[in-house]
Amino acid sequence: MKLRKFNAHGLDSMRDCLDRARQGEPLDFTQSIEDPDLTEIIDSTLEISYRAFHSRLAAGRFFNQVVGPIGPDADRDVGMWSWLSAVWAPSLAPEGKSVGRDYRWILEPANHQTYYRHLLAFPTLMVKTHGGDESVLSSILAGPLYAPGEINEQLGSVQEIAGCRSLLEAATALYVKPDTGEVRRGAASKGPGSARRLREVIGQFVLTWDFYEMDAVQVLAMLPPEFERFGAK
Amino acid sequence: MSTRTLNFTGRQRILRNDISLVLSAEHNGLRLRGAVRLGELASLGGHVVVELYRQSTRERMECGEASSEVTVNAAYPTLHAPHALLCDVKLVARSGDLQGQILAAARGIRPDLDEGLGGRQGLLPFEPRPLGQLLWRLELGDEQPVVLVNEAIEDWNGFVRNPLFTVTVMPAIAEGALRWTWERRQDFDSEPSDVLSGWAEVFRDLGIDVSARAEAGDTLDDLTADLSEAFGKRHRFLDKWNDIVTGGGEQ
Repeated sequence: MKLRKFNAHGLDSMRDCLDRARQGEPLDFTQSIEDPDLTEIIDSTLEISYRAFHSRLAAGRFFNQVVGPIGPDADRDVGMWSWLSAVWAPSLAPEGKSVGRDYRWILEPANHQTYYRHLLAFPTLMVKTHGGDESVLSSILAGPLYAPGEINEQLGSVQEIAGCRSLLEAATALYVKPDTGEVRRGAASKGPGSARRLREVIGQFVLTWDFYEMDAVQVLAMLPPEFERFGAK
Repeated sequence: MSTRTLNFTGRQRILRNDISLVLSAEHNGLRLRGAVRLGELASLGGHVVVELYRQSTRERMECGEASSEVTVNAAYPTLHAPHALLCDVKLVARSGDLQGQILAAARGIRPDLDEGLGGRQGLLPFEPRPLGQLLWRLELGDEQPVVLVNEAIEDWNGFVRNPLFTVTVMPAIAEGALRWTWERRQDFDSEPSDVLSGWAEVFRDLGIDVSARAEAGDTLDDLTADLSEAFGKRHRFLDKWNDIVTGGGEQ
């Protein structure tokens, strides 16, 4: 199908649909995603069709390729990201999983507390920013598409971390097993050395250090001993 | 990041008066031109970096080695919408044990916009957004308060300039901005951003010194009550309303 975006009526319809899903009705956007009253075609040359992704990183790479030709403001296009979320609903709310809050589906680009929680736009923004490198993004883009998880929550909420390659690469070295790509036990906890603690520690360090000037090894060397349980030294 | 600033490192402050930056639009993104006057800070060495950012995006550009006046002429290709952008200006050590240390900084600087983009930026940006059935919403972000206006409103620019909007909505926006300022009152002791300093000045001009009132033990409710009264008097909302409804206003 052609790449579209929801108009204001389409966004209203999407919110209604999400509300109904929260009340137990099946989530179904099939009637709305090609409705000319609710959507408009962005570019008649751009075709897109649903496919499943094995990771959020793979999804980010795919959507970065798809929306790249649209232009630099694509990452803030509320109607387009909402429409894409509707098309990808089977992956974003698989059977038995709740739809969650609206901002997971309807992008809020001006809201610093929610933009990084959009299930498709944020992985894409990360790939656009960092180039889709696994050694950088495997931590912040860990987890399935429908459940970004604690590392995304902690690191994505601070733009100075999410935008900094060396910090994300350090986080990946700490929290992701290189052989399996799984998140290490304790990374998502509230305990010492966790992603939550990394956010807090970095939050103080960025006042003094410019991490863009460093590589991940230098970052890891700066961390306090509580991170040694994840391999920092 | 709303963490209170703790400066144990001797990091110096680049005064905002020593920074003059103007943002202009280009075919591919935005360009920032101007100067950072380091003066004696230049003796610290390092190089100047200017980061331009909004809620979801940050882009940084190298602007050269430290000197008494560093010229800024940097393109930011990933940023296109010029409004509601802020800058961090950093003097960063590049070599030796201090590599990566921030030697001096100015955070939350609002660049001016060139004539093509509408001139000087206001303290309160308005941004069109899809808001369903809402007409407007005040977003109290980390960097600054932003008024989101429903993009589906025909001539949303005219809508926010309408005197009806001013008399009915601006008092609520001012209260929100006061809350935003109040929640950052500890930053006045360290490195207040341009926007925070700007809002503090607005409230001081209305007779409300947020920092002094906080130290005196007043609550946000106390300040809000005073703001409502002072703001109403200053802008004569009742008179304006009566002018509007009797047809004597400027509408």
